[in-house]
Amino acid sequence: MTTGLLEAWFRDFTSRQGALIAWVSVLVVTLFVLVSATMATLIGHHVWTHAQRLRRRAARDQIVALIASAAAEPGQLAPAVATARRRFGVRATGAVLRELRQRVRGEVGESLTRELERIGEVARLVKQAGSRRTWRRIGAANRLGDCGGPRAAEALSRLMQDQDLDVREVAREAALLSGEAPLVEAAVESFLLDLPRLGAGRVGFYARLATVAPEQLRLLVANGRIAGPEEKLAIEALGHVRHAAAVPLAEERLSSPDPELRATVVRFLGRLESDRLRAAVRERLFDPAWFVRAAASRALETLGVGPEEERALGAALRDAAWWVRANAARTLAQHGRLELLLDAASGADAFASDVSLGALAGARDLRPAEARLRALAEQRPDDAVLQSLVQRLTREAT
Amino acid sequence: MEGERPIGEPKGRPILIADDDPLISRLLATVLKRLGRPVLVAPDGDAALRIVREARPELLILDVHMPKRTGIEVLRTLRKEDADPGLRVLVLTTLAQADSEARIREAGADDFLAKPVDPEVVLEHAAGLLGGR
Repeated sequence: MTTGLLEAWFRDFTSRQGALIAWVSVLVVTLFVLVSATMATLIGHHVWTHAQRLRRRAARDQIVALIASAAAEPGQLAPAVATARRRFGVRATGAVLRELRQRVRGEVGESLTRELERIGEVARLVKQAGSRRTWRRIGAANRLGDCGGPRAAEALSRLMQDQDLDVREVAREAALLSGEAPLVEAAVESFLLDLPRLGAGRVGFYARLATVAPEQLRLLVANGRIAGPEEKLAIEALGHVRHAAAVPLAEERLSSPDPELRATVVRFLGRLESDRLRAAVRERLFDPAWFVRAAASRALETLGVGPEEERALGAALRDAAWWVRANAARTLAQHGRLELLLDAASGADAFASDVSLGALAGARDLRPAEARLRALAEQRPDDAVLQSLVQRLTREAT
Repeated sequence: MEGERPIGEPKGRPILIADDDPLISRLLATVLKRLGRPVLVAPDGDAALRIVREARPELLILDVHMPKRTGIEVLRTLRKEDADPGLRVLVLTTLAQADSEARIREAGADDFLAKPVDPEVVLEHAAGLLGGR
């Protein structure tokens, strides 16, 4: 009886285990097939896209070879474009024509624009500019700036008034890059309308405008069309391109009640390397705002140091603000005014002494200060900076 | 290397265009052939230095932004070596660098033009540099 029950239980158990093993096997095989299929798809996709990329690159190289040389020969461009279009398609040919147009001005540039219009690339982009999808309009805005010509300019101007801020920003950037005066003007007007909504992109716009059309940017400031923080950003951008025509405008603002604007103007003047501006910047060494004094002591490094600047910078070595002392010491060291630095280094003011020794370490030629430095080093054998300066002198002498 | 092959008939000392952008180098090579000189092309700064030493061009048209060595580095190296004081150099810069004329001239450039360029203007400047000897 008991044996019979055990046998029945054993038969039932093994049959159920067999079914379990079968299910697990099916699951493992299915997973294996799925993973293998996914891997094969991924590898196949990678191989295919890589081959496509290589084909596109090879096609581009061949179009470049066809078009770049032909563009410079009168009457050769149209046949070369026709050949490229037949062999590689209108999109690839249009892309190379746009690339070249972006890099070239003058008659060659105009002939490239004519070809872009003739093959329908401009018409395609104009149509794309009217798309309901934002990303398509952004794509059109990016490319229309490269095409040149009135049709592309008109479409780009419309995109600068698009309902979407991103589209307008891209269109403005493309308009500035085109360098064409009417488009640059339209970009400025569009920018001014958007100004209250713009964030960090403003800095990029001013920088680009200063590069492409600095006079337009100067006029925005001079005519009071931008003010406050915008005025500072614009002057900063004009300084980066060293736009000398903006000097009178900057000098007027040196006495502004806004200390940040005064500091901006001092930095602007410091980039111009003009002796005439030295006196105006020197006066700012006595400005009530420490960061204006710091900017002035740094600007004199570029503008130069005469006897009066030397005296003012010597006084700045004892300024209450560390940045002012450090910049003044650096400027004096760069201009070889070592005596003042040595006076400060041996004086009782520990802060002035520290910055002066630090600046002396950056001086190109320490030999004029050798005797005083060695004497000072003997008085202060524990001063590591002084000892390293003496070691440098010994090394240079040998 | 394709970039180093003379494109024009060899008459006199060559002109070397050092630019990594094949669109610009090919376009300028075609335009500069009108000066009746062989035109060589270097795709990077190292190749430019090597070709200047080997082929002794009379005019170097040098892009500032190049792989391996910038145009300014190439120029400084050449002027430091002083291997050919007669070598004239025309530097091509982007608009953003056009303000640094002093830096470019200090490095030893005889002339410079801002990109985007008008190929006819490059031709005029090149002819001026070659003719003013």
